[in-house]
Amino acid sequence: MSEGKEELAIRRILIGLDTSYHSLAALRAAAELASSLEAELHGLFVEDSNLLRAAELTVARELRFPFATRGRLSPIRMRRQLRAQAEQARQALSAIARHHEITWSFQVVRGAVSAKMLEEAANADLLCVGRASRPVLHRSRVGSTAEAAAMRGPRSVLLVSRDTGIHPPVVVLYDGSPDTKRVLLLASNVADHIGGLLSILVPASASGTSKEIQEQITSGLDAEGLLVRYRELAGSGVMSLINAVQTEGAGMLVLERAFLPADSLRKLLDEVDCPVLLVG
Amino acid sequence: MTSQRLQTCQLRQACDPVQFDFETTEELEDLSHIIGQERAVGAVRFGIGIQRDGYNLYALGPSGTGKRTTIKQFLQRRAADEPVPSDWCYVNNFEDSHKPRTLELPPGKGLELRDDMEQLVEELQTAIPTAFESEDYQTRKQELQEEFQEKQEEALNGIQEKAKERDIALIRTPVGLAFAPVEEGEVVSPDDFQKLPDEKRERVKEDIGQLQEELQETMRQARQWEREAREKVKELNRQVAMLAVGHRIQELQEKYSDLQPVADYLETVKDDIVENVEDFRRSGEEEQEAILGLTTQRIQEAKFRRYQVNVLVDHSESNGAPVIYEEHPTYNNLIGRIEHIAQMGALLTDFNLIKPGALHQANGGYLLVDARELLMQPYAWEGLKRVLRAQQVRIESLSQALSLVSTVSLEPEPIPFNVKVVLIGERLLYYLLNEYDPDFSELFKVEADFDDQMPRTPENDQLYARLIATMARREALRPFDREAVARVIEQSSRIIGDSKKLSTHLLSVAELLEEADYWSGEAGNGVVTVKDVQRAIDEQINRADRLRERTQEHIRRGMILIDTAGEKRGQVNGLSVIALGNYAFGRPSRITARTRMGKGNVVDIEREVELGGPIHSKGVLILSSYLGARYAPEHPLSLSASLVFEQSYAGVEGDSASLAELCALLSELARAPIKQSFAVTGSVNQHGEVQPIGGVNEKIEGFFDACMAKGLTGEQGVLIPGSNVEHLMLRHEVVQAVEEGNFHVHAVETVDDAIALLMGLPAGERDEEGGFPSGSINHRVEARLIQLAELQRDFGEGPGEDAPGGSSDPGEDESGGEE
Repeated sequence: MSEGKEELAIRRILIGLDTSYHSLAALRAAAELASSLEAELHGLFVEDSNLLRAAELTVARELRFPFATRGRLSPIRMRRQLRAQAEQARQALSAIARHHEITWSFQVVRGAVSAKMLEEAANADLLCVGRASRPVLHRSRVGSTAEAAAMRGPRSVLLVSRDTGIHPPVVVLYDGSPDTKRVLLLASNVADHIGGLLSILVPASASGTSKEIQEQITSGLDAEGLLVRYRELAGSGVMSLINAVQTEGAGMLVLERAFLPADSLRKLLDEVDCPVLLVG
Repeated sequence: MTSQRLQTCQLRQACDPVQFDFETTEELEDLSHIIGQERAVGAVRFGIGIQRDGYNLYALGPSGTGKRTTIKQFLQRRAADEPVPSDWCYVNNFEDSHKPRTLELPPGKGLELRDDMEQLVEELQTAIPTAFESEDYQTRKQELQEEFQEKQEEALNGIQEKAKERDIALIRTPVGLAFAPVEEGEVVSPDDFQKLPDEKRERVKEDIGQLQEELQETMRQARQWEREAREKVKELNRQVAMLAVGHRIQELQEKYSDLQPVADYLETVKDDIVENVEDFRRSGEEEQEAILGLTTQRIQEAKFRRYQVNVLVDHSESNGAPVIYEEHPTYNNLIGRIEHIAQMGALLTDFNLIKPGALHQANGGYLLVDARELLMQPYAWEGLKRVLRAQQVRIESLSQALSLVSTVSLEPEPIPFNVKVVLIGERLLYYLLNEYDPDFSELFKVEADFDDQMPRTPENDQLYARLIATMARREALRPFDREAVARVIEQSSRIIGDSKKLSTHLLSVAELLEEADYWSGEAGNGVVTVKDVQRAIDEQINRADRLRERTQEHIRRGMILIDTAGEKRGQVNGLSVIALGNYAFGRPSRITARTRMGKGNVVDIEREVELGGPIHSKGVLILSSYLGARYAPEHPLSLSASLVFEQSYAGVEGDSASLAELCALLSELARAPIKQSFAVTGSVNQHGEVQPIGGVNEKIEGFFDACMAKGLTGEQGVLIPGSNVEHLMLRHEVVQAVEEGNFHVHAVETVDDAIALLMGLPAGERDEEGGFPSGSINHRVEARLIQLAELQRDFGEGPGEDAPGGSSDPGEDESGGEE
């Protein structure tokens, strides 16, 4: 497993930034993780090309918060507003990086937000985004960018919704398959750095008995100094996973991206409050 | 001639120990009442008994007469049988926190309510968060939020769908929402849009305008829904809070059901908790974060302070009505005060920081205050009067009343006031207050006048012995044997300066007893004996008589010129008293007189140089009148005389030397020398009658000491007014000298008595023809005055007459008749 460990090492974290609440929560989580794993933090702000195009259309109209006042869109104003948001994002990144004493960089690009984010993520070990950016509807729990990252993102993706930070226990789903072994390795690495408590959820569909799986883990995991506990999932549906995560009081959930079908993954992301690390 | 040489028994009224049928004071019972103060005690009993406005007391009298102790004991006895007054509390006024409310509760209930409220708050800090964390509440709240979000979502979805059908997207901009035409999910570029047919562009424009209106309406409505949702959540919170709080408050209301004000207060508490339930919901969090120096715990404490009960007056352990003696009656100590606490640079206060004053503590009972202390404290007297007039205590800080500071302060609800106030002070203060403060006589209608003396009768001697026994026992002193008791009684008469009286200045008596006990201990005695008492008296004198000793030394060494033998014309030994602190002693002074022709005036040299006081001057003026009326009723008084206290460099006051001055003057006029072995004291009136003076014992002893220093001859003595004989309580030493014939005390009734003794010649009474017997002093005085009058007349007729002066009588020796 030690080879996989090297393969999954996180040295560069890409954080997708805007000025939304979720984005700033994601920034704080990414910074904590970067500090724990001694990784470098790279901030990315995407100037939405759709917005810029809309601003150039004479027919496009805007209703401004909070009093729904009408206004025309203006390209100059739109560029200025986006620059202002980018600057706010940069300052937030700078402040938190200084606080955690981590290496950081910041970049502003223009284009379709999801596409640009995924494109830049190819150069990072981990992509970190807020679960919802600036939704039209308050209820939206998973935004389009987060969904794109979750479904199509490269390697590992960390989705953050609430400002809970990253704290033990790290909860990981492990069924004995080779893919989930890599995930377990990454989870143990994170757990080792943030407090040493790892909670392993074993699905009912796992290959082998619970005892066998525990033995596999014990032999394969460099668990020195790590407090490990096991929980067998009661059912096979996503709800049993959600309940187990909530019962464990998870500080972070780590799971293999392909483990759940898309709908179940959406449901999971909707219901679970803690940061979710999807490993591709 | 009515002068009288006094017998030793007249010089000191001894107390005979045989009259006591006890060996030591240990056998005597304690006195249960104060002695010698019947008038004052009657006034106190009346003042306390009468329940009318303004019938407060002023106990007046010299300090040390036991006023405070007597009144306190009296009040304590009476208060013990009176009902325990109410407890008083301040609680928050939830409608206006700057005006705290009062609660009157039965004795002991104040602390109970305070504890109940503390427990209530403690319970609610758990109960309310628990209620809000319950699944029921969370579900209902979620339901309300879902309802709102569903409505919003439905409306927005509708618009989004409508827009989508028309190839228009609803997008989020940095500051709001916008509509823009889209093609395959992407916003149409301006160029592509321009390429569209005019009709199509126009339709897009119309669609966007229409969608925007709908969206605007939806957003407006969404705010309304949000408000409604918030209200619903608030109402839900109220219901949940009411559920958590209601039954607990109800339990308390049932407990205090017989106290309607408490039940009403609890109702307001309930409303406030429900209104501010968020404070309790957050109190469950145990984080101790520091916010600008304040921990969350302190913030929480501050939040719940408004539910506390400030028990201002607690009578849970009282028996009877309170009797409070306020030793330091400042304005704040009387009226109470509102304290402040510094928080983040500001001075803050609330009803919990209201502190009671003595008036609160004494409410329903009695308050004793020292009048002098009270009057010395700024605004305290005014504050007390205001309370007595208004019959309520309103706590108002001085700084607030005087507008000195403008910090946030309180206006606590006043408390009804029902206290009998007893002021204790000197007589002078009482009379000054009566004279200058019109409120005083209305507010302090009862005067309890404490006397400093009582008659010395056999019955009172017995009571005094019991007083000594009581004091000795109370102060844990050795018992006094009966000789010691007798000596104390004698000294008591000496303190008051009257052999027929006993001193009620208990402080002096107590000091004597304590010091006698000390010397008894030093001597290794088990009981205090007469020797110990005498030692205590001697030591008291010894500690204080440095100046007396110095004066006597100066007399002995001739620095102060006092003759105690021989005769001299126009010169007599007068006596004065010097009082220093609690000690007084007599000092002989040489008084001289000179005469010459003049306009009938007697010059008081002391007065001329402003060393003589008005009473002294009055005495001297009486002499002129006496001379004119007695010796020159039909001639003008053509005399100019001067009188002086020799070697007196300080002020002279009083008329007790007027007899001596008159004698010196008559000696000068009569050319008859005065025996210097005598000293004279007494005042005279216009008829030549001798009147009593003060300090007779000290004066006699002062001259005795001077004679002792120069040597007793057996001729020496003192002339005192006959009316002063009853005041004699002379030292044993003096009495013994008199007994042995070495010293004498003469009582005189008239000037003639004094003249005869001092000059050794009869004074002389007018005969039937109106003349004085030839050779008598009065005859010589009259002759001299007539001579001066004739000289004056001759002098006024023209030159060639004899020069004025007293040298025309060749038969007389100008220099006096010293032998």
